[in-house]
Amino acid sequence: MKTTVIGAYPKIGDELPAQELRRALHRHDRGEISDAELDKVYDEVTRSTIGEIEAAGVDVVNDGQIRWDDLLAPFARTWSGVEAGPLERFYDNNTYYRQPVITGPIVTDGKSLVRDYTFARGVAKAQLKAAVPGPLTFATLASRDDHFSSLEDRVLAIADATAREIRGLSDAGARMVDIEDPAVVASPRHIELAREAYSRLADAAHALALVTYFFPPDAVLESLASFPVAAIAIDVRSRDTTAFERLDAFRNKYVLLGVVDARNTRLETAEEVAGYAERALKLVPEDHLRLAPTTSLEYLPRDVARAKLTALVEGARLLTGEKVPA
Amino acid sequence: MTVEGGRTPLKPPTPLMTTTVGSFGKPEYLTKARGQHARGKLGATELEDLERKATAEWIRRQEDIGLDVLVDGEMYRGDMVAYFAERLEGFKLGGLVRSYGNRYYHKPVIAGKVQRPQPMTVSWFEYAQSLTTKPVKGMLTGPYTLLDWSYNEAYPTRRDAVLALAEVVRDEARDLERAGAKYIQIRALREDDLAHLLRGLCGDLPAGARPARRSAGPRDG
Repeated sequence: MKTTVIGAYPKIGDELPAQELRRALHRHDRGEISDAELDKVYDEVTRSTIGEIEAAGVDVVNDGQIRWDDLLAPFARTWSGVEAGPLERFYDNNTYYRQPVITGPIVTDGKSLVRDYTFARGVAKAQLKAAVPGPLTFATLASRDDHFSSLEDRVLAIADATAREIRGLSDAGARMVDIEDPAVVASPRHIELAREAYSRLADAAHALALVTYFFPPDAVLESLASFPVAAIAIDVRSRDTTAFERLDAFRNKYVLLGVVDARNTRLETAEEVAGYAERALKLVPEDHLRLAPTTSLEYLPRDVARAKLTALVEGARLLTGEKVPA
Repeated sequence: MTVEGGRTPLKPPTPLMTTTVGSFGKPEYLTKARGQHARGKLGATELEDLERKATAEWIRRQEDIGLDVLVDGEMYRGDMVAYFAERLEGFKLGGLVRSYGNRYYHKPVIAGKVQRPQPMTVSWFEYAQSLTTKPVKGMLTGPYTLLDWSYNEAYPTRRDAVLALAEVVRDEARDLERAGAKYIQIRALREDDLAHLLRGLCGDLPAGARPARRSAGPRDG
């Protein structure tokens, strides 16, 4: 049973030696180190993060999004026609993001994440995937739009820009891209609009995963199955859900099952993890199931994040061990 | 104001009361003092003196503006959850998590049965009320927000945890009422959950009734 991660990893730990990035950012703010020196620290922390995820035994890793201030930041920073606006709470978390402000037509060279992906590719020994913010989330979290006349126009323009970014990542060698789009489950009323947006992202060259989190997929589960993506990530752990009885809807897709709660410090046992997987295996073939945290592990202190990955991997191994005939 | 035809301006049959929902900005001397206290360079008594000073300034300011129902301004709270978590049994301080940019805080953990050893806000309410003849509101944070801003390791389900938290919020509200609070505000950030909770307690909410919301800025602890 393969395992993967979702989204961002904690950038610092509780021990002082693990707070290098925090110190470097303070020093950068005070003008004591240059952009290049800060960049070097970002790279080193990215390197150690990938190493930490791999050491836990995760099969498909990412770069931990160490440079991202929030999910929307990498595109809000680089796209012309978009500015990073005021801070707002990110869904029901005590965590903040900058609301995008749309000021004009959205233009991108599609290379916003290429440098980071290329660096991570040089570091990772395991299979590496990339990630982008989802178009519905980006569009619905904008605080102001001075350009597009409707949410629909905004979502589709953001989808077109995102498609360019995915092609850019693809050219840099990415074969798997997570599209993190919590709005798809947070605002189920926009599900048809989201599907139209995803039809613009579809591309046979690489495997796209629609990654949902924070809320159970119950209201839209069957609709998600018709999205033109290779995989769907859902949280079946942190809230009550009927998803386990309905997973056959994803017949032709990979399912990334969120089984360790990335927003709670209580550690799952390997048995609990294996138990969730076994329930899913009643309706999902084994080669189409992957185990994952429910969302970004950055919502946890770093030592807990590491322990969660260990629980995830041990659960996956327990399951495989039980399945292998003696 | 002149009114056409010389009629007197219309007055509502009952005066429309004014109040505010949240905490006020801390004056610079208090922000500085809190930082010094966190680094062990300022004692608790000295910090509290400044918190009382800032509270008195905000009470006067609200009176000057002419508000009807005043708040204490929460000069003594770091944020709307940590303040309660530090005073409730069962909570402990967790590891560092990021709120935004390069800001981190210690997120509270519900590690055991939640209990309230003593009132948490009553003495501040009494102090603020002693400064004015206008009514001062009791200011509490709702159980869903307390839960969402904390980790839950102690209760098997969210429902169990939120009901335990609801009990301590209720007890605090009763103590505020006994201390003379005519108005008590319970702040919640998730209307859907609050509506759900209230429906269980007192039937459906009237149309348009919304709990107070606050969009607090990120903090650094």
